[in-house]
Amino acid sequence: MQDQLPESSEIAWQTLYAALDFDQGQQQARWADEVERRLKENGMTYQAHTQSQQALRQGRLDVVPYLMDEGTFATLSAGLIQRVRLFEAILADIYGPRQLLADGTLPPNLVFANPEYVIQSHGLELKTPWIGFLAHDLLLDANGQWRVLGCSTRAPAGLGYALERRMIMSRVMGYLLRQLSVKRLSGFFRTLRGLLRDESHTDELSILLSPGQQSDSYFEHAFLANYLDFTLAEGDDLTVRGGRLMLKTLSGLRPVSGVMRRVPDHDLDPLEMHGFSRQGTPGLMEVVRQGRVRMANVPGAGVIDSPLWMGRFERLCERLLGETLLLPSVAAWWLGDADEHAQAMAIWPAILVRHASVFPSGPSYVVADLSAEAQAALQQRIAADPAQWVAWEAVQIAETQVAQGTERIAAHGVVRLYTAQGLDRTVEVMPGGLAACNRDFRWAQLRPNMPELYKDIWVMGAEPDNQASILAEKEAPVLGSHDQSMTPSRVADAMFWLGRYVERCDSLTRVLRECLLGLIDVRLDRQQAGIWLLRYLTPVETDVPASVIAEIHRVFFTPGGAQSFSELVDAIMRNARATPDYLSDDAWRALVNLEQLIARANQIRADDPGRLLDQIEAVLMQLASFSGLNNDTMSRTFANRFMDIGRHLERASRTLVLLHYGYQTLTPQHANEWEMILEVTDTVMTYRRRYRTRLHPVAILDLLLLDEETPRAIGYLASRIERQVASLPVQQLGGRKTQLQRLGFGLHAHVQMIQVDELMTAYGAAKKPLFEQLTGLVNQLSGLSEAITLAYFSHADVPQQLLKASR
Amino acid sequence: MNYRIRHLNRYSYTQPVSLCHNLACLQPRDTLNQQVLTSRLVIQPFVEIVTERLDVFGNRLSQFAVEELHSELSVVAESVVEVRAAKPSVAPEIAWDAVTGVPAKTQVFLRPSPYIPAASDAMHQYADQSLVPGRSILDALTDLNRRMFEEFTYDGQFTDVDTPVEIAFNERRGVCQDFAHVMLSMCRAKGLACRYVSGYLETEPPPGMPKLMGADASHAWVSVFMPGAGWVDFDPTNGILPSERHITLAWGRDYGDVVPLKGLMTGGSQHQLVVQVDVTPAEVSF
Repeated sequence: MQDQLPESSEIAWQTLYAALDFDQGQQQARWADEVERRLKENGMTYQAHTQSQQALRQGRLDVVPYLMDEGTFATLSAGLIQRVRLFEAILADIYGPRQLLADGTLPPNLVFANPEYVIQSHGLELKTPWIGFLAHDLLLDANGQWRVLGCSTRAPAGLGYALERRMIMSRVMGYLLRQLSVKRLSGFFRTLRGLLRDESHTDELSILLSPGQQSDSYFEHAFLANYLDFTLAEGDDLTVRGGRLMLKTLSGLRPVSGVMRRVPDHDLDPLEMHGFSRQGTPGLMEVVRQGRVRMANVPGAGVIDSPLWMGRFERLCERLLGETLLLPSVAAWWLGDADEHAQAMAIWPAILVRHASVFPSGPSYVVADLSAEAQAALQQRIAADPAQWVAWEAVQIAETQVAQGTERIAAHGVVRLYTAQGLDRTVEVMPGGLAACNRDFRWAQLRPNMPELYKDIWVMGAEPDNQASILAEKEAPVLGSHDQSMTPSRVADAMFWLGRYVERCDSLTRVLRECLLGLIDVRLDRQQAGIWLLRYLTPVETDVPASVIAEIHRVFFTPGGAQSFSELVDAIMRNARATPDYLSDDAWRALVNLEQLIARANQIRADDPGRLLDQIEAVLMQLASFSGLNNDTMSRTFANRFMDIGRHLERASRTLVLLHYGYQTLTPQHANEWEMILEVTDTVMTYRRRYRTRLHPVAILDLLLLDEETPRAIGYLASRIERQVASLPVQQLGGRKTQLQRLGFGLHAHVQMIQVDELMTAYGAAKKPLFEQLTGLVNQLSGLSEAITLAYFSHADVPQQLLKASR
Repeated sequence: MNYRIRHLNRYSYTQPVSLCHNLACLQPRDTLNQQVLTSRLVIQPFVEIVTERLDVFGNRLSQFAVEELHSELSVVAESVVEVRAAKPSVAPEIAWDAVTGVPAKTQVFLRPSPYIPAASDAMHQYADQSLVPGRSILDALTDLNRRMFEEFTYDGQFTDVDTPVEIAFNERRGVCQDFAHVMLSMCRAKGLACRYVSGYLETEPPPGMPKLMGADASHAWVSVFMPGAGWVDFDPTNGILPSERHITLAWGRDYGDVVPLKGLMTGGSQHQLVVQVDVTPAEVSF
C-alpha cells in the first residue's frame, strides 16, 4: 500500500518512523508507555464516573498514528458530504411525502420494520438539518479503493474519545504533530457548536442531554459538554413552558435553544412516545416541531443507521440528487430478500453475518470460525426471521502498522470520520478521528466499535494549521465561561448532599479514631472513655475492649450495614457522579482513593485495631485532600457554594449533637472524655492556647459554641452559613430568598445572643436551658436545609403521572 | 344521518397540579362515509395555545399545556358529523390468503405495533378456524367477527388501558379496545393489513333496535384492507359490520396512536376521571 502513496506522504511516514525508531525503537516503547499511562490516568477519572467497578474502557491507543494525506482526506470528505446531503433528502421523503415508498424504490419494511423509525416525526418541517452530526466507518481495501462500511447517527459516542486521545497524543509527541502539519480538530467543533448555539440570543442555553450516570458514556458526555461549553443536562432538569424548552437553573427557568442529544429517540417525550421515561421531558417533540429548539440529531434520523441501506445508496443518489455516488459502499446482502439470500448462501460459510439492527452494535459472526453446530444454530436463527439479518463478504482490508514493543506489526484499520452540518447546510468533515484496528481483518470489518486498539488519525495539511482552538487543544478542557446562575438545580442539589455526606464521613472517621485510640490504650480510664464516645454513635452492651472493637468492625466496616462506611461512600459517589463537570480531576482521584481505602478497610480483621487505625488515618487524609482541593482549585461557583453550605450545615449539627451528648453524660471530672470532644472537633490546640487551663466544661462550651474563629465551633459555622446563604442567586420564582436569608441571619443571631453563664453553673454543671438551646439550634439547621431544598432543588417539580382517558 | 357528539373528560386531583401537558385526539376526521360539519374543543382552565396538527394517519390532534395551578381539568369536544351508510361493499370474492398488492404506505398496518405484539400460537389457532385456506376474505372475517362476539364476554372491570392483548384473549374478556386489539392481532398474524378505529355509537338506539355495547363511552373497532374494496370495518364487540350508527373519530396501528386524551402532570397525587359521551341525532342541518 505504501508504494502507492504520493511522495509527500512517503516523507511523512519516514519522519514518523524515524522518530519512533530513535534509540533502537526505545523511543516508540517509551512513548507507548506514556500514552498508556495517560490513558490509565484518565481511566481513573472515568471509573469514578461509572457505577460498575468493572467498567473498563475498550481499546488501547496505539502510539503509531494513522496518517492520511490531504488529498485522500479531500476525496473522502467529498464522498461523505454527498452522503449527508443524500441522507437529508431520504429523511425528508420518509417523514414527508413518502414518494420513495409509493413508487417502490424502497421496500416498505426498510422503514416500517426499522426500530429507529419514529412515526411521530412524520410531517416535521425542519429549519435545521436532520443530521447535525454523523459518524461514518470506512475501510481501504487491498486494491486501494475506499469504501463505506456503515454510518451511525449516534455519532458523539466516540467523538469525546477522539478528542481525548488527540490531547494525549499531542502531549506525548506534540512536536511531531506540528512537524507533519497535522490539522486541528477545533474547527469541526466550532461548526457543531454553531448549529446548536444561537449567538443572537446570549441569554439562551445550549445543552448536552444525557441519560445520566447510568449511561456507560456519561464521562464522555461530560467531557464533550465541557469542551463545547454546553450545560450537561438530564431529563429531570428540563421542562416545557409556553412552548419553549426550559432548563431549571438556580436562577429559575432559562430557555434552551440547542440540544445535543444522547437520549434515545423513543425516550425523548413521554407524552408522545410510548412508555414513560424520565430521560426526556413531556412536550419536547412539539417544541422541535415548532422549530423552537435546534436538536442534533432530529428524532427519527436514526432510521438511516440500518446496514440494510448500504446496497441501495447508489440508486437513491441518482434518483434524489441526480449524481453518481462518489464513495461506494460495502454492500450487505439482506437475507430477507430471496435473491440476496441466495447470493449470500452461495459462499457460506465464507461470509460475515450481523443482525440488521442498528450499526455498528448488535450480534455479529465470522461464520467460517464457528463450529459446525454453531453454524447450524445460526442458520436456524436466520431462517426464523431472515429480514432481521444481513451478510457481508469479508473485505481484505489494507494493512497498517501498529506498535509492539520496539517493533511494529501489521493490523487492519476501519476509519471513523465525523461530519457536522451547519444551519446553512454546509457539511464539514472532522480532519481526524479514530481508526479501529484489529489483527484479524474480518473482525475489523464486523465490529469497528470493539477494536483491539485505536489509532489517532492524523490528517496532514500542506502547511501548518494555525487555526485557533476553542480551548487550547493541548490543554485539558477547563470549566466553561457560562453564567454560574445557569447551573442546573439538580447539580446544586447533588453538590449540597455531596458536602453533607463528605462531612458525615469526616465526622464519623474522627469519632472512630478517638474511640479506637482509647480502646487500645493500656489505661482503663482511657478505654472507658473510648466506649463512652462510641455510645454517642451506637449502643454498646459490653465494656470489654476487644468485644467493643469487634462491635465497631461489625457496625461500621461491614458493607451493607445502615451505618457502614460503604453506605456513606456510595452516597458520596452517587452525588459526585451527578456533578461530573463541577469537580476537578484531582478531586475525583481523591474520591476514587477514598472508595478504595474503604474497600480495603472492610477487609481488615476485627482483631487488628492497629491496621484499622492506619486505614482511618488514611481516610482522613483523603477527605482533607478532597476538601483542600475544592477550596484551592475550584472557583467560587454557585455549585461549590452549595457544597460548602452542605458541609457546614452537617458539621454544625454533628457538633451540636456531640455537645448535647457530652453535657448530658459528663461531669467536670471526666477529663479523658472532654479531651476526646476536643479531639473530635479538632480544637485541642486552640483550647490550650486560649485558656491555658485544664479542661473545664464552661470553657469548652464557650469555645465550641460561641467562638467565631474556630472552624468547627458553632459560632464560626453559623456565621459562614449566613454569609453563604446570603450570596445564593435570587430566585425568580417567589420571594423565597428573603426567607432563606432570614433563616441564616436568625441562626447566627441566635448563637450570638447566647450567654454561657445562663447555661452553665460556675462549677461546670449544665443547666436545663443548655439543652433547649442546643436542640433549638439543631432544629434551626434542619429548617434551613429544608428551605434550601424548597427554594433551589427540583425534585418536587418532575412530571409524575401519565393520565390516559378511558377508551 | 347527522349526529351531535359531546365527549367530556374531567380530571379531579386531590392535590393541585402545577403543570400538565396534554395530547387530545377528540375531534373526528372526515372519511369516505362521513363529513365533519363542526367541531370544537373547550378546555378549562383556559389555555392560551392549543396546537393542532394532523398525524401520519391524517387524524386531528390537539396539544396544549395547563401551566397554572389547577385542581380540575376538563376537556370537552363538541362535534356535528354527517354519516352516510357505507356503500354495501362489493364483497370481494378474493380468498383471504390470496390477498396481494397492499399499497406501500398501508403496509405499516401489517406489522406488530406497540400495543399489539406478534400473536401467540393460541391466537393463530383461534383465527385458523375462521380463516380457512381459500375462503373469501369477507366471509372469513365476518365469521371471526361473529365468533368473537359470541365467545368473548364484555367486561368493563377485567382490563385497563394497558392490559396485554394476550391476557384479554386468554380470558376471552375485556372491553371494545381489547376486542379490537385481539382481532387486529389475529388479522396481522394472517398477513392482513388492518387498523384500529376509535369512534362513537349512537347513545340511544332507534326504536326497535337494541342498544349497542360501548354506546356510553368512546368505542373502538377494526378495519381491514381488502384490495378492490378498500377498508371494511368490523365491530367484534357487537358482532356487526359498522354502518350508519358508527361515527369514526380516528384510526391508527392500535389504541396508542389514537388515545382520546392523555397527559403528563406535575403534582396532583391522586386523580379521578369522569368521562361522558353523548351521541344524539342532530336536527339542524348546516
